[in-house]
Parts: sequence; structure tokens; C-alpha cells
Amino acid sequence: MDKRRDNIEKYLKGELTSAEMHALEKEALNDPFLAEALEGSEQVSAVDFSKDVAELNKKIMKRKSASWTWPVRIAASLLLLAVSIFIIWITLRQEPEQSLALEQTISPKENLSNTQTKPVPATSEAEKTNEESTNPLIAESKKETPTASPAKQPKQRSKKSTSERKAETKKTEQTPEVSETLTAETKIDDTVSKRIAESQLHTKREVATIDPNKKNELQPPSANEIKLAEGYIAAIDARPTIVTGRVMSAEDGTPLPDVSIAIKGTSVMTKSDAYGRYTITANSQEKTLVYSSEGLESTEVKFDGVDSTYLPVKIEMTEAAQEEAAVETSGMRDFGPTNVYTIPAHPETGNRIFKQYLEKNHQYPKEAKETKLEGTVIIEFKVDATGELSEFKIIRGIGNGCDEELIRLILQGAKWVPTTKDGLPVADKARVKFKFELEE
Amino acid sequence: MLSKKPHTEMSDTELIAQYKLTGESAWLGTLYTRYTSLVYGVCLKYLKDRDDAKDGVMQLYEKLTETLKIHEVQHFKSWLYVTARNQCLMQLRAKKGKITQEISPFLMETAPEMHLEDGVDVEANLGKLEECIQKLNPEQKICVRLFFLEEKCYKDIAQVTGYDLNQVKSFIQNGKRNLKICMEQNG
Repeated sequence: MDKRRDNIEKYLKGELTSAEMHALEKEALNDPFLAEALEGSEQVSAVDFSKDVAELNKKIMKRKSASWTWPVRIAASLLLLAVSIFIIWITLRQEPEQSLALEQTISPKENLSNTQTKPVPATSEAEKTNEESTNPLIAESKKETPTASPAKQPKQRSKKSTSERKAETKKTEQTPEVSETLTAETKIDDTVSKRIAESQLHTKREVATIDPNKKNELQPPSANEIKLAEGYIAAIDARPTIVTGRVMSAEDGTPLPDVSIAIKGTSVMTKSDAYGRYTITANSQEKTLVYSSEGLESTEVKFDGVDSTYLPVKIEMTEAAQEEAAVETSGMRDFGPTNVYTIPAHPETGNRIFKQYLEKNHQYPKEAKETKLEGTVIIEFKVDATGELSEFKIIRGIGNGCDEELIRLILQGAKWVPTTKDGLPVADKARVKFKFELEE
Repeated sequence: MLSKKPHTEMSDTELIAQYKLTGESAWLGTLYTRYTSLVYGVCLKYLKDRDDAKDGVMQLYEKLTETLKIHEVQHFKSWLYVTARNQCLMQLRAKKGKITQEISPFLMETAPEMHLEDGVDVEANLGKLEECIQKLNPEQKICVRLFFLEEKCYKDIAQVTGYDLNQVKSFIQNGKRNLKICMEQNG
């Protein structure tokens, strides 16, 4: 439990590994307490949060009358506080350096741009589009990432031409700065954010192209990263597709681990994991996947998705299978006409639990209690496509605070799932009816 | 009065029992400090003010010293969550007094998600899950897949997809919700 507390703080400070972060996030999905706490903690900086929690813990301990072991705990939390302050201090100290490194790489760009430029036609075109749209998303998304402060720099530079950018990239490659990696990363981030403005959907897939590599070669490879960034810019017209899926045995549907999946005619390949799952990014025009495993004839499957594609594949396990390896695919496309129906807006907990919630949590307004008022209240409101509620209207009211009480309950109750029409959330109206009844 | 176990390893229920038995607030302190960051986070979320939130945490602690003596609390954590939220809401109401305040947008966003109550385990049935994932919109689809199947954290997903962190969060939350609806319908 104490560990949990540290985890929240570590999470906020970005000290957790990806797996630990994922674990906490997953927990938060199932634990509203944790979810709300995390949401609330965003109000203050990670440092302040830790500081406040330590302060509060100290205070709480002080109120205890017993003396045993508490000094130790207090000392421990003070130590924790000191350590966290130290860490923050270090982090803060590093930040200016990063910005500096960026400035340095900017300054010599003019010389370099003349000598080292190899413009890629696709790139310059893409860049132009970017420059036209000043993208609010950059600022927004940056806030959240640890690379926040350097990120501002590239934004200011967004007016510069592609060739200059490339020159900078080159320069970074040569600078043996500590912050090298960071700079390169920022650059990628920056380009990434801009792409969003240009084409929402394609971007994420392209970025995904970069990511796995970036991760694998995490530490020294700023040069690699830069190359990737270039390759990625150049590949903008290739429209990469993320293919995700599962490889299963055609016989009994069991997942097949360790099956190699390659994009035909390229060296791009991946392997299915223990659950037969795989993800592969297709950069090229080639839209055929080759599945192969030891003792198995390889199987080819075409995919035609322009967006991310889900490709579960069943492979015949018979080892002699030569040409007729049975392959079944489904869900090849993204926007299949699979779901043409309307689901009305409803609380995400389901109606029954929502009703229980109303019954359990309503507070009979004082005035109504005094006047022994009872009756049914109907409230109508709008549930927009994101599930936000607004435009509350009293369809049937009994007054004396009851109507307002029901509105309060709706607002503070479960989230609402917007009406879904043909699989898409749409704004709609919903009504909640509740009967106020006095006990006894 | 000292138990065999170190108090840090005792369960919440054991600590409450000890507190009731001895009236010694040290037990309560041990218990409460396990949740300080959670309670503080929740207070921050509702009260939107550091000092108010800190006061809220301390007030709740004071309240606990009384309540726990009298009331039987089964699931301390969920009880604490509800109590903390209620206290914050009451404070808000006392402050603004008016219903209009409660319709303010931030309260809407903060409506709690009661995932716990309905027990459809989204992760339990991968096969059906995949069918349902197909029906999500593309953003949700990719985020949900990265989160649940690839087990990436929000930050990594934000990096891979280019969405910002909050978008990722809401795509996953909404995606999960839609998945659940879908699974319930088919199941």
C-alpha cells in the first residue's frame, strides 16, 4: 500500500518504466479512486504533489499520540522528500542545458544548409502544408511529455525550410552533446505533432513506424533516429499501414506463437508472441504478408487496408501442407458495414446500477422532507457525442429542491455513453425518471 | 498492544480493528497514510486548490477518527473514496450554495466511472474482444489495441500515435466502454 503511494508519485514524475506505467493506468481504469486521484494530481506539478503528500503524512503522524516507530517513519518521509527535491533539482538543472543544445544546433545552420542539403521532393511539399497550419496540438501535447521545454524550440523554427531542417539534423548528428538524443527525439516529436494537422489518420501509423526502432536502440543512436526521421518524411506518400492480428491454428483456433510474419519482398518482419499476436508496419506498396514457421509451408495473405488493418489469420498446421494452406481472414477493412444499428444513450454502468445509484445516493431535500413532498421527477438532457451532459430541462418537476437534486445525481453519477448510430457516437437527448419517496 | 506483525504489513481491516480496540490513533495514521496521495488527488480534483485540498485531507482524517470508532466499515478503500468525494462535493456546495455551480462542466467530466460494479471482464474473452475491437472507431481501435494487447502505457501510445496524452486517455476509456457494451450485447 505504501508502495502504491510511491507509485503515484513516481508515475507523475515519470520515474516508472513503461510496464509499470501501463500497470498503473490499467488499474486506474478499474479503480475510480485511483483514476480520480490521478486526474486531480494533474492540477499541480509532480514535485508539489509529492511535497504536499509528504507534508500531509507528517501532519497525520503528528496527530498520533503513540510514539513508537513514528520518528523513523517521519525521518523516512523527510528523506523521501529530500530525495525527490534533489531529483527535481537535477531535472530542473538539466532543462536549460537542453534548450541550449538546441540553440547551438540552430545557429550554424546557414553554412550547413548550402553544403549538405539533399532535398527530398516529397518532404518539401509535406513541410509546406505543415507550415501553413499553426497547430494548436503541438503546444497541447507537449505539455504532457517530459521533453516539454525543448519542444518549444522546434515550434518557433517551424517557418524554416526543409533544407535548413535537414542541415540541423545533420549538425545534431555531429554534436557529441549529452542531450543529443533528446534533441533528435524532440525533432521527431515535433514533426509528428505537425503531421497531425495535416492528416490525422495517416500520421499515427507513420509515427508508429518509427517507434519500435526508436525504442530498441534507445540509448546512443541519435544518428539512427535522425535517419529514421528522414526516412519517415520521405515515406509520407507510401502510406504505411499497421497490420495487427493473431495467428491461429486453422484446426482448433489455438494461437500460434513464434510465427514469422514478413512483408513480402521486404526485410520487414516480426514474430507472433506467445498469444499469437503480432503487429507489423507495412511501408511499401507491397500488400502481402508472408506467414512462416518452422515445419510449416509459408502462407501468403494479401491485405488491402489503407488505415490500420486487423488481420487475424488461421493457418493449417499440417506439416505436409504444400500449396493449399488454408487461410481464413476476416475483418480486413477498417470501416466495414458491420454495425448498422442505434444504441440509445445510457449510463455506462447500465440502467439497473444507475437506478441503484440514484436510490442509494439521493439526499432528500430538507424543504421537501418538511413538507412531506413526494413525487416523480423527469429530467431531460443532452448527451453529446463525447458523452458530455448539458442542457438540463425539467420535464416533470415537483420542486422544493427535488428536481435539482436529481440533476445533481445525474451529473455526479456514472459517465454517459452517447447514442451510437451506425457505430458512430452522436449527440442525442436522454431522460432520467426518479421517484422521490419518503421512508417510513 | 504491539501486535506480532509490524503495523505496516497489517491489512486495512486489521488496523481498523486495532484502532477500535485501543483507541490509539497511530493505527489510524498508518491506515490513512496509505491513501494520502489518493485522497489528496481526489480533493485536488474537486476543490481545484492546493490548500483547500490539503485541508480536505486533514478534515477527512479528523472525521475518520470519530467515524471509525462508531461505524463498521467493510471495505475501507471504497468507503474512503465515497466519503472523500462526498466531503469535497459538500464543501463545494457549501461554498457556492447554488445548483448552477453543480452543472458546471468540470463536475460533469469528473463523474465517477463505476467500472467496478459491472463485472464484465473485458480482458477475459480475447476472441470476442477482437470482434468488438473491429467495431470501434479508428482512434479508439488503435489506442485500445496498443493498451490492452500490446500493453503499452499512455505515454508510449501518445508517442506512437501522435495523439496527446489526454486524447489517448479518453480514447482508451471510451473504447473500453464501447467494448464493454459490445461484449454485453453479444454475450
